[in-house]
Amino acid sequence: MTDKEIIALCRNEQTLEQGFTCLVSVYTKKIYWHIRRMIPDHDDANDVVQNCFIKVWKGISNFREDSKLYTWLYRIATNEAITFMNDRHRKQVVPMTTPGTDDNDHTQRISDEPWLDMEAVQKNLQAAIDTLPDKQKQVFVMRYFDELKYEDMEEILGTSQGALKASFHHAVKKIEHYLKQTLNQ
Amino acid sequence: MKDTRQDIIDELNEMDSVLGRLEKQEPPVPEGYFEQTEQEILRKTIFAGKDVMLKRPHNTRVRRLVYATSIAAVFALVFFGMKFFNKENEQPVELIFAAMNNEELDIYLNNQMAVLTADDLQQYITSNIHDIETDLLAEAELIDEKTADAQIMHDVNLKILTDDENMIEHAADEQLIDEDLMKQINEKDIEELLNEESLFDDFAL
Repeated sequence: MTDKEIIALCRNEQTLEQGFTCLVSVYTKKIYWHIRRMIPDHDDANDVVQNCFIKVWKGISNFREDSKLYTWLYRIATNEAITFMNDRHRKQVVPMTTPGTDDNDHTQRISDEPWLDMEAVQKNLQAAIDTLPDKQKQVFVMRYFDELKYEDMEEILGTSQGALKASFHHAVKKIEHYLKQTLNQ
Repeated sequence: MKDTRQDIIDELNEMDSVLGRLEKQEPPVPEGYFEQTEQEILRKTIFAGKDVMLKRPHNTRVRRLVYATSIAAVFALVFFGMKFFNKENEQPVELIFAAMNNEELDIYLNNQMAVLTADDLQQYITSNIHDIETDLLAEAELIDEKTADAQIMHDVNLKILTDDENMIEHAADEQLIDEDLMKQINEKDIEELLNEESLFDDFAL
């Protein structure tokens, strides 16, 4: 079902529930993965997903096509994730860690060419993403994992495309730096 | 999205980044998580506060089922002495039904639907769900799949009990029949009610 069809159903009081059911069916996975990349813990991500859809339900009747449905959903999801991360930052002081010194990571030394060991890169990618500042993390997740266009990201985050490109570039460089350090230890 | 993916790979290659060559993997999630989450979201949103889904019937077939349900509700209310009277005529519904043919009954119940509100019906269905044929309810989408499954399990138990000579005692022991209700009615009444093959015979679907 297309976004247009979902919106049409949600606009009619008689078909609102049907439309919302379709929306949940189409978007639960996408929204979950979007949130999970920013909030690595599954249970935390699940809570944020549920809160996100409750907000969507409350707001769907008033949704106007000023923006696309999926950018509206991603905006709500991103805001919910940011709120969660901010709360978490306030509640706990996260100790600064040097890449590769965490006892829990599965770092392995790569003697020859670490960049060819894709499995090792994969294992450490999420840890690398977690080191990013929140804003860069959002931009990286949206661009790299959600594969959103910069114009849609601009609508969701309210940031200019130039700034988004710069953020993505910085995020990629930081991740690679983290991975290089980690894999060379 | 495909074009966007290629754009991203090109962008990463321009940065000489290994990420462009990396196959994306998703971290594990519990089995069946997404299906359960969808149900959980719907439960917290559109079904919040509802015990049983009751949809407005659109077609004749489903309407007839709802009528049949309302008959069951009315019969049950009269049967248990709750003095459910027709508001205009102040006559017991039992007597009104007796004087009507099927067509008249259908028309009456159509009007009666306005008297029996959706809340009344929902309350009746919720509290008497074990007396209503599960497959019909599920087919008419009056109950969700989970409720239907639970009801089917109950039906299986009830069928076993039906074969038992001491059905009533077992039903009471197993709390299939509410204890307070048992005190209000005698065994003969219960037996008649449970032996009633179908309240819906006149409304074969």
